[in-house]
Amino acid sequence: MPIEPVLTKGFGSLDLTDLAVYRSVGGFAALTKALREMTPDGVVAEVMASNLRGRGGAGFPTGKKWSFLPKDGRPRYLVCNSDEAEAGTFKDRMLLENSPFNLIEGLVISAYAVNAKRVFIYIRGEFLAGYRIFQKALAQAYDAGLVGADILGSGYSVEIVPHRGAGAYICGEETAQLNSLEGKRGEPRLKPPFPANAGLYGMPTVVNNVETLMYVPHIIERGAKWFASIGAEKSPGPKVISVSGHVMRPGNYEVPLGIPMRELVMELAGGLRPGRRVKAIQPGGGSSAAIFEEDLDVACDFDSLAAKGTMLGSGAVTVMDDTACMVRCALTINRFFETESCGQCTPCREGGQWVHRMVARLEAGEGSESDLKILTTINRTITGTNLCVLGDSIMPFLSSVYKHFPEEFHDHVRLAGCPLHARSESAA
Amino acid sequence: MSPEKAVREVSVTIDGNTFAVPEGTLVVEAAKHLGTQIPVYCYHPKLEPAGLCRICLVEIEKMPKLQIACATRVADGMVVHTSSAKVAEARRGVLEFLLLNHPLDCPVCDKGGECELQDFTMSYGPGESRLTEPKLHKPKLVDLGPTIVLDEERCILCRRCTRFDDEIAQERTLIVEDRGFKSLISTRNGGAYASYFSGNTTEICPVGALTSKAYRFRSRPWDLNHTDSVCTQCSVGCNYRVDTRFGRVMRTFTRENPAVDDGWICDRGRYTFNYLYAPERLRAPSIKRDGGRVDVTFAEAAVLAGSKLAEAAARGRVGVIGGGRLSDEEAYALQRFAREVLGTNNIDYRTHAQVYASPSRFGARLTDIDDASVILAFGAVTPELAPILDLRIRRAVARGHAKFVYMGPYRPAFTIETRYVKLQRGTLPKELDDLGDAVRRGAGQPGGSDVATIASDIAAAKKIVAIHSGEDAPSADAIERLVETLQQSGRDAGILVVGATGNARGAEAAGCVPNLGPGYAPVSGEPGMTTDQMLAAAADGRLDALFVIGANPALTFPDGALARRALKRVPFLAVADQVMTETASYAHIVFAAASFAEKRGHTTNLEGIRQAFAAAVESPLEVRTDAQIIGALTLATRRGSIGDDPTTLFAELNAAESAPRAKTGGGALARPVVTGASAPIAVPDGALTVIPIPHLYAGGGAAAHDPGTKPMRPEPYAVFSPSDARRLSLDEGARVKLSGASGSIEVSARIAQQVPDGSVLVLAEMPEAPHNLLLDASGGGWANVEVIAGAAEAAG
Amino acid sequence: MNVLRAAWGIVTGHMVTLKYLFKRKSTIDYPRVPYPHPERFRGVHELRKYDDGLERCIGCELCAVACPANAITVIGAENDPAAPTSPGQRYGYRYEIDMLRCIFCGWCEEACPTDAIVLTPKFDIADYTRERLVYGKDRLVVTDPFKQHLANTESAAQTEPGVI
Repeated sequence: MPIEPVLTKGFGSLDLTDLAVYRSVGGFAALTKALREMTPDGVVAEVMASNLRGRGGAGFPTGKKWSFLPKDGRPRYLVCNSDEAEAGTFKDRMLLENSPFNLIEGLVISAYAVNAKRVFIYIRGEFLAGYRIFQKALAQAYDAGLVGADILGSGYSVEIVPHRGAGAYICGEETAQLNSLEGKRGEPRLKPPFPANAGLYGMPTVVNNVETLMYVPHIIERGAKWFASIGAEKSPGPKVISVSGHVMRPGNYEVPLGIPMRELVMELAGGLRPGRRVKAIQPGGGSSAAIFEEDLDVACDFDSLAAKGTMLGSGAVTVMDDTACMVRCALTINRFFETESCGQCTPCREGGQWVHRMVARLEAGEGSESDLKILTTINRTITGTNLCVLGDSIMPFLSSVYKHFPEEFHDHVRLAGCPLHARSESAA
Repeated sequence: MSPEKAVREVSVTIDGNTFAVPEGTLVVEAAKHLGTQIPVYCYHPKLEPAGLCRICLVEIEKMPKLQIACATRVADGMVVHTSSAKVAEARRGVLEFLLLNHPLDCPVCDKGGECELQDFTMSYGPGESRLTEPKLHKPKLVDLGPTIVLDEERCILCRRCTRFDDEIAQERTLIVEDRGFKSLISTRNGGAYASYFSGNTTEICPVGALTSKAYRFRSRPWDLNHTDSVCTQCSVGCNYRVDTRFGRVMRTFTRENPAVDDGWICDRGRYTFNYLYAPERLRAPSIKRDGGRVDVTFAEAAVLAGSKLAEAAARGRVGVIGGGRLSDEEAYALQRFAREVLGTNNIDYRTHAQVYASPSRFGARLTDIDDASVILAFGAVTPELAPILDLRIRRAVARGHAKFVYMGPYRPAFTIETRYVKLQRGTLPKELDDLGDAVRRGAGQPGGSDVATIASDIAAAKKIVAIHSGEDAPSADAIERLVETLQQSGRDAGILVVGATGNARGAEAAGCVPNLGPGYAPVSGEPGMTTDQMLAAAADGRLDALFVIGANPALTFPDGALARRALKRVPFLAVADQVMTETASYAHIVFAAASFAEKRGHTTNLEGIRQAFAAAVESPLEVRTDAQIIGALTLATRRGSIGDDPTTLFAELNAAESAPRAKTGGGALARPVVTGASAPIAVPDGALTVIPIPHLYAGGGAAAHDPGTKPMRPEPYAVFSPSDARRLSLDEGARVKLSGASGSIEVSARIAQQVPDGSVLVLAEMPEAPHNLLLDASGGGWANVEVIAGAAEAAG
Repeated sequence: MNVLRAAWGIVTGHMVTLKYLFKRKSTIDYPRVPYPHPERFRGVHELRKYDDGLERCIGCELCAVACPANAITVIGAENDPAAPTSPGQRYGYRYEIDMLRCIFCGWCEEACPTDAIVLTPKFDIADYTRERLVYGKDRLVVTDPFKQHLANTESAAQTEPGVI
């Protein structure tokens, strides 16, 4: 059930990085409406009514997040999290590079809603092209009076400050991002206090994902009802999902939340290579537990996937077909988390490194049954014992595939190597 | 002070015991009420909770995940389990992770035996290792700075050290480098970790990662005997423990006293004990004979010195200088010796520029700094003179939103935000009276002057602490007037005087001043001579004998030329000291005195707290405590008897102090007599005004010869302003000769922005280049500068 | 007759002696011949070295802690990296055993993490002064390199793999 594209409308045919083009397709109408006709609280109420949930991974209702800010007169900040680094996610990059004005419009409306005078956008260091495109667009927006002092004569002023990250995955975590913005080590902070209370420079701060903020103008323009009518009841609205892996047409797809995984993978993404079957799917990036062939009919929304013991996360569907060695896949994931741990918490720092060493050994055919025994028990001491969720992301994929394909792991020990690769090599 | 806000108590259940604790208590602290230990690594009561090590995970009912006890605050009705199966498993897991790559070199580790990783592994650990692969390796011998060696392999990355450096010392030199399991403790820009507080990191390190060079591999913790003692290196009087083995001091360790040191000690205090074993330590009395020095027995020296002093006393031409480095008991015995035995009031402890060691009224407490709104420092460079006091100021400024104001002739390098007011010599009393007027009128007066700015700071303040170094009597009085004004305006205000020596205040209170006896009671008869009068008299041949005890006036007295002339000229000079100081080198008889670690007694800190310390080790055979030296001299003079037992002396001192006496108006204590007014000095054309600057490691006694602090000790230097340096064509590092009215010294040149033009800052109390050769009796002086060698030459 | 009787008396009187003259001797020619020991006899200690000549002792004092008679005194010190005495950073700067106190229980041997202190079969340590019975490193550290090598190979053969 594909829908009319919202964010990705005009992608591939129009040059939306040009202000005039963006305006010609109705751009900045929402901003005008919000600033001229609505109060900040009205915008918050509208977003809350739309039940827009955060597109960055946690799926927290955006309007609710905004309403948490204490009303004590301290300066407030809005931070746009564009440090998209989850394995398998590439939606924010596309949105940033193709539709920067939609983002700017979203930033200004959201800043207006939370009454922030300064907006920081934390752009992943590797997104140099996106950063340049955004900078150019921002300059145009400033020139056109859409950002800066007294926007559209409404008396409301806001500054947008783009900031490039330095390449740490952990800086996608909101408090680590705030530390990084402040010029400190990008390490998650102890919570509480939460950013809504003491965020950037100790002031109330809202951190939202790029995609979340880009939906805000559309909600303002078309109304919360329209947004809430799309997709699943509890997680409404469209969402851009990045599909990658063993599919014929990998890419970003804007779909209504709640679309069945089968439709997304088999129809939109063109299905698998001929003769192949789905072995495992990571529905929410590297941190998520895998789902398997029998789970293909699950709906892609926050709650349905959570019921399956996994998550939608930032919407990064990675498909693995039956040629994929689960041990090698787990190794890739674990190597990533070993490298990206900030090193604060013991279980994540040491456990992540140990798990990686064990999986690497298994993959190389040097593992032992005792390693497998450790891997089954270590989950309990790594997961749920850390300051942030990075530590909790180490084990889900490994645990889920080990539970589902235990024989594949035992074979690696027994045959001192990968049975799949051995088979393909002997066949060759 | 405002009454404490009533703290709400909440009920919490820990392991089945329900009890009440103040709201907001951390679970880990609440558990201590029960005597339940929750293991912690990253948590330290003095640091902000960080939640890094995850060993303190506990189960809290109604919470889905285990929670860290170190950062979770109790809520009413909270039910906590600290030893459930889930908790035990989590602890086992964390310990297993910590031990994964830990080198387990416990047998050679200095922390072995007092290591929290060992202890918790024994109590909660998995018992055996499941790691089968080789351990990861990291650098094992990292030289962090002059005091600390780091073993990265042993480090469990709890970050107590970096957080201490960040939150407590606020120097931000220690950092974490790299990330994940490759994280390393390192220094900012790879520089040296040269903090005055570095030793504390070795103590708070839960494992043997940070070890102090002074103690490395010298002993194991179970070998050590512990003696409670008090540091006498400066006037703060931090409490510490002296750890000894085989009758030798091995290390010192903090002994928390929240009212004094808050659990920290500085490196000067921590590491200054190795001079006891240095070759320069005096181990026997010696007398001047045939142009050299000959060691004699203590009895021989005492008889000889006693008879000489008695002869001079009979003629009434004798003086006693010293007391600021003695214990309270000894200072009391010393003034008795002068007054009863030698029959003179010529006794003075003041051998530095300092003239008052205590405020006569409005004394503040050290803890007053913690909640002060404004801290005013007048010429007292607290980081150098009283580092642990400075730590309190740093914390007050960082956490308590206090403002720190420094008034002085130049701007010292403070770690914290400082409002600096430049003072011309002798203008402080007027400035302070102006300030008092401004406060009285109701401050916030417009006008961009410094005084107006400070007046507006003070106007907004509830509590003000004034800190000065008691070097100028009119200024000290003006400060007291200002504080009186502040108190009258309903503000809480008090004064702290940083002592020039460790027990200056104790010596003053014990009566080592010409006009006052014990407890500031005026003496009967004529007041005696002050130090400058005694030195002047000795230089003119009006004194026949001088007894200098625990003092080095040759190096510390402002008028160095006069002091040297006097000490060389006096017919008989007896000196008691621990090492061969310059003063001792002029003496006819030198007594070898016992150190703080070798005697017991009391010492009074700058706030007036009297603290007891005990003897940790025995002194060498011919070395005596100062009380024993005074007692033996008394016997030798046959003019009375003064016991040398500290207990008896202490009882006598207490009795003398509590005797009723008349106080001057306003309940103020009587002031020690001050001679020698600070006259303006005439600086010749082309010469620079000399401003002595203190340094923590300066000094001519123990500090000059201690192998432990030698690496931190600077070479003598002088600091010039950039424009003066240009005028004199000086480079940083050049060798210069400074010539004053009565002498010259050679130092290396430094250039710094904060030096006022026309002035030169000279490192004080360096025996290699005594700054006081450039000064006169008022503490002022000037110097002509001559470049001896350029920077390149000097380096070559 | 008396002569004969006397002669016979001498012969019978020496019968026992004669009998034992041709039996195997039950004494040994000590100290020229070494006294035979049970295999696990615990005698005087020695401090072993590695084959490369470095001392095994790291000055950890665990032997001193284990010693029930308080006979051992150890003072550690830091190795000079240029000319180390033992592998690693710490070595036994002083090592003394008071043989008058020692009860030869062998606990020091048990406690030693590097197999440095070992009890040998040597037992005859009588001497004329007490001072000479406090053995320092000069008398404890093994000096014969060949004997050392044999001891190392033996202990290597007996030691389980993985235990250093």
